[in-house]
Amino acid sequence: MRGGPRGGARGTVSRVYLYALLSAAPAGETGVGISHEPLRTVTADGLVALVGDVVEPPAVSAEALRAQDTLVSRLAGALDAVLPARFGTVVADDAALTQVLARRRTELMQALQRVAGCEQMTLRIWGERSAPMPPAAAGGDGPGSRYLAGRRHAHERARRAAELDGLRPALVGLVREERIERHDRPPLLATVQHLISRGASARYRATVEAGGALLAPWRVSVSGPWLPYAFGETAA
Amino acid sequence: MSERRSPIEVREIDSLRAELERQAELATTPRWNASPEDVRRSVARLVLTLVEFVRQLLERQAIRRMEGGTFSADETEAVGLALMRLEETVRDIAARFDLEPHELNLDLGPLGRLL
Repeated sequence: MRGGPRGGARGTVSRVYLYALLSAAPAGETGVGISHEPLRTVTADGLVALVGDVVEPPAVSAEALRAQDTLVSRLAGALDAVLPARFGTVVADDAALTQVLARRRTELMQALQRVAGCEQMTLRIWGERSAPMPPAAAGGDGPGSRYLAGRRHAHERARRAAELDGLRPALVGLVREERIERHDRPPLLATVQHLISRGASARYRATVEAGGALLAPWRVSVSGPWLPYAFGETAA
Repeated sequence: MSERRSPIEVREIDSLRAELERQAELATTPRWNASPEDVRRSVARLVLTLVEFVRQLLERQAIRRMEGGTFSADETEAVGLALMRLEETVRDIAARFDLEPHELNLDLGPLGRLL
């Protein structure tokens, strides 16, 4: 394992750009990264990180995001588990990366196990208004109690996508985990990420499309399969 | 393949684009401008973000205790009132510096956003 800062052209110091954590080192050539830098791996205590050496992290753009997704997806196809890193993740050098991996080893190994053999499907929920929630339980007579009850209600609401309730029975057995992000800006009400087994995307898509009428007045659109971005974000 | 999109689908695409632009704006590292007004605003944003972080922690803790039944009625009222006033204060001060609620956040790089 190589460590320490790397000297680039004319004395510039490069940093380590993290693409993903892998369940194993890829077989064969890893190719080049989105800044055309050679890709390599850093292995620390059973964790394999796919990295490249860059002077500056790439700027956020649709092209760069697609390129990174394509690159990691290509390598992920031959591996059991991949945790894609957040775009733009940079550390000082291999030693710093190794330190982070060692400190978070348990969490990262659990995340890799969770996404092993899985891929992500994304549902977007559309409508003119969000599904009504049961009213907040009365927390008491005073303004402070009512405020706290209201905040609890808001937290519960943020974790739910009641608009999908009509479809949930059909998704039992297909969806392993779910992540919800509410937007509540009509017509975009929420984004729901579902972790499913690799190869099940066609059946998932067919199930969602067949159950679309059950969701009225809401509509959902499906995209995927994707790398499990939503299920390793806090980890990788 | 050319296909005319229904109006609702066009509106959905526009809505999604707006959401992605909003997320991209939050992800972009702001350039530091040394003007006195920008410095004051940046400091205010940092301080208010940290206060908001603590407020959300306290709120979650209070909700857990309320659900667990370890708060008396008086304690629920007192804590709720304090958190409500704290939220109002943060919002008022933010407004004076022309800060929107979604701007009270910190990008921690590999660790994601603070809030």
